[in-house]
Amino acid sequence: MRAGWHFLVMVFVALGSAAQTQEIIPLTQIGGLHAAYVVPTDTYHRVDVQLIVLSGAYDDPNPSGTAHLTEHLAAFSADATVLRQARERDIHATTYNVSTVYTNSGPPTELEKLLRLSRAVLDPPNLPDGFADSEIDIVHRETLLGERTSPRRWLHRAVLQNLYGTLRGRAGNPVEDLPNLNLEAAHKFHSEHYVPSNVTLIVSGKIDADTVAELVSQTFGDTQPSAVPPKPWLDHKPKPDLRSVETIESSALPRDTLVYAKFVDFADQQTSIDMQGTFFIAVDILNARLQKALYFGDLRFLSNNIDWYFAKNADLELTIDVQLMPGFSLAAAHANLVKTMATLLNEPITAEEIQESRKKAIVNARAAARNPRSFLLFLKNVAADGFPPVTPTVLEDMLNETSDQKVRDFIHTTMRPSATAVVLAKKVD
Amino acid sequence: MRKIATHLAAALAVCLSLLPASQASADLIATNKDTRLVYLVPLRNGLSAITLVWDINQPDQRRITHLKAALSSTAFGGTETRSAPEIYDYLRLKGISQTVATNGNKLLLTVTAPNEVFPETLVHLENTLLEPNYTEAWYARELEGSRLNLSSKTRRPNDLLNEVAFFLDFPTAPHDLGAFQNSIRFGRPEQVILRSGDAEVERRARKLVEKLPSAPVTLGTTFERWTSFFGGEDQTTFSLPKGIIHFTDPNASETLILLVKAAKFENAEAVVGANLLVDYIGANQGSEMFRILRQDMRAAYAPRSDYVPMGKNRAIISVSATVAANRWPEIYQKMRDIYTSTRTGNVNSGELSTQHNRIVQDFGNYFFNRPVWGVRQLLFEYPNGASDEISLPVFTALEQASVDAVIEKADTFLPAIDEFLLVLVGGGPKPSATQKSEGYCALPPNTPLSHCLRALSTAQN
Repeated sequence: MRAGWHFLVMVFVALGSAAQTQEIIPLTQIGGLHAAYVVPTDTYHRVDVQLIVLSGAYDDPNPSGTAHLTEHLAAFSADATVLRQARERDIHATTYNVSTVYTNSGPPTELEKLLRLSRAVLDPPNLPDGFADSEIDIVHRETLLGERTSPRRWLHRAVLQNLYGTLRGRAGNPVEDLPNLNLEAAHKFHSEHYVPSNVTLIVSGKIDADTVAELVSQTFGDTQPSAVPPKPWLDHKPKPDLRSVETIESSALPRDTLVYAKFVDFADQQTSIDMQGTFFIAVDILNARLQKALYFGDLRFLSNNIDWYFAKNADLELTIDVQLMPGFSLAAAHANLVKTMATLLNEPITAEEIQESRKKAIVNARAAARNPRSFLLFLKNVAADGFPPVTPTVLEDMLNETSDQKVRDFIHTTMRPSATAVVLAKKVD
Repeated sequence: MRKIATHLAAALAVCLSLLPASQASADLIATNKDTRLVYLVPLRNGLSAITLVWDINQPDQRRITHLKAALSSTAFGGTETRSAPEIYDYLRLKGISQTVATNGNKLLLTVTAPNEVFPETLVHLENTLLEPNYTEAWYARELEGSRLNLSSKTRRPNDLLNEVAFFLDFPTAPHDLGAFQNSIRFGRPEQVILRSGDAEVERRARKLVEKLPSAPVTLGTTFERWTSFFGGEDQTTFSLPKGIIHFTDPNASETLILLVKAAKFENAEAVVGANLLVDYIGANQGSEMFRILRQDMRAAYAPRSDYVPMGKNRAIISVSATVAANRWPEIYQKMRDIYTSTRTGNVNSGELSTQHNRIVQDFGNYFFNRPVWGVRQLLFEYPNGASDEISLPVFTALEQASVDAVIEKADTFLPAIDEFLLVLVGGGPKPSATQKSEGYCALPPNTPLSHCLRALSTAQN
């Protein structure tokens, strides 16, 4: 029996097919922008413009949350400047740790408007009287909502505050600083960080590269090079012998939870851009071994999340959070995790293991190309550090060119004893 | 550069699962009839998908949770020839994803993979179903992971709506059946829905079905034991009580306000009309709730409405916002006003037209790129399987919808706000005596929402 083969085909004709090779074309007539690129693809009938401000929450002054407030003000100001027909579009702006990304999407015919919307983000925020002030209240609401709905958010913050010994930079203190949020700091942040030389533009989608080049030149050609704001947090590193352990209690937790953080200083490296292939293969091997020990080897670990952050200066940060099955004590879980980390490289890393992780990383990259949102995040990833964007197919080349020895060296450096912090979070009623 | 490397909780997540159909035996979840094979239009993102559908017969929440663990254990817990970590590695190497979900009274196992590896994916699926070999400890962990989040703790509207949907799908109070067997096997399903354009895949899918065991006609002990509890209870009421469910947290500075209604519609036109109007009220940044509650009143970060399809001509309708605790009575009244204003036809036709275009585009994207979403739409219309050309009236009605007609009939498409249940989670003033007059239930700490849903329903019946 075969039914419905042609179902809906005529209704939704403007949809994509399988992923294809993605070329990255740098643009030259871009005024003072740090960089601009076009990535033509035929996969989806749309165009996406990502304006990436190369500053985010890690660049917060005092108070924490200033970058976030600035994102709100710039997004609404830009929208009001260029548009706005109600219900026409949603504003997509996100403050990440090292960048703030404004994404404007639409059909290819709207590219010129999408670029103007992006350009307006760089103008000083101009909002109606009272609106900007009250946007601070909205940031309050958003921050508190996030704290309640995502315990991981504050658990990770707590462990990073202990790891780095600070309430600024890579740690942050956004909840306690809420009462101090102010427009003056936000406008100052905008004037220092939302400057052309601190901005990368990526245009991707079903578009002609020459057309994009011309429109980008028209829209951004008048911008001037500017001073780039410093990133003092890149020099802030924990003491290598730090072994912090903190115990807390909370009624907001679904289960007892352990959070672990480790800092690795690749002291002989100045930049992470040449290590991307190595990074992806190496962390896949480490993840596989961690999963084998924690998730598959001890069924008292209910779930785990492993997160690696590789900074532009080649600082590496590992965070692991695990929820525990009822009856499994935090102390026993902690002991198990410490032992796992200490013995993770007892078995030598084989060529077969490296090759398998290389294949998995390639499969992951190809999967990202199948989903528009994943594809945008992929492009944004290293571009947020000021590097050229990497597409899934470019990463595939990087992975294939990475030598086994580089992977082994990376892993052995990562697993050497270094600064760690642990939070043991007990669920209470 | 950030690599969110591993999210096992999400990767191995399952949604809901259930008791087998009336053909169940002690350990085998399977039909004793022919499996219906349905070929749905292929996906457009380079992926193929297969969904196996087992029918449920009057499950309750406890058994559902247990069977969720059983199916998840079957999918991920290892086979006679592959250990659990070997399966995990295999899935990652091939780019395969496995998802367990429910759709009303049906259990779904969906396997998705790139076209080029899909034939071998079916071989793996066959081994998974024929040779499951998971441990008791693995099963216990899946059981723990299968429990719904308590919305009174997370205070996420999604979690609250999940609890409501769970109650509506499976309203029967849990029965004590003693220890649940972890030796359940999943055999021949009622339906197989295939999304692939490959003849070899179709051949292997048929072969897979033929190899799966069917249930014996004689009922086994498990089913007989469970059926004895049902006693003709009506599982298809699909209604929520009115009144207030209140979880009080005196230390909270915020309160989640959620109004929710289980709505039934006469036809696909009404379904589409209600969906459009609900989205107009609060689905995105151009909505009434965003415009009024966030931009004008500065009261909430993410006020929203939700339209959750639950079956043919059935849906959960909800509006919600998290606000400063001391302002909840004022915002609650404004939410009621916004809803009622839309229901009485105070709608901008141009803006509703924009909303219409968005939904059409979303439906298309979801249908061709999200296999589970597409299967749900199919099962709403063809719960027992399609036997001829497939026609989904909701899609046709969506394409043909007239914005002016939707506005004109708004009061017939949307139920009155007084028919909604109010859920409050957080701090602030207590509800007034008037507000509590339709019914009131104080939710104890660490208690599922179903406790109050059941209590209010019982009182009102």
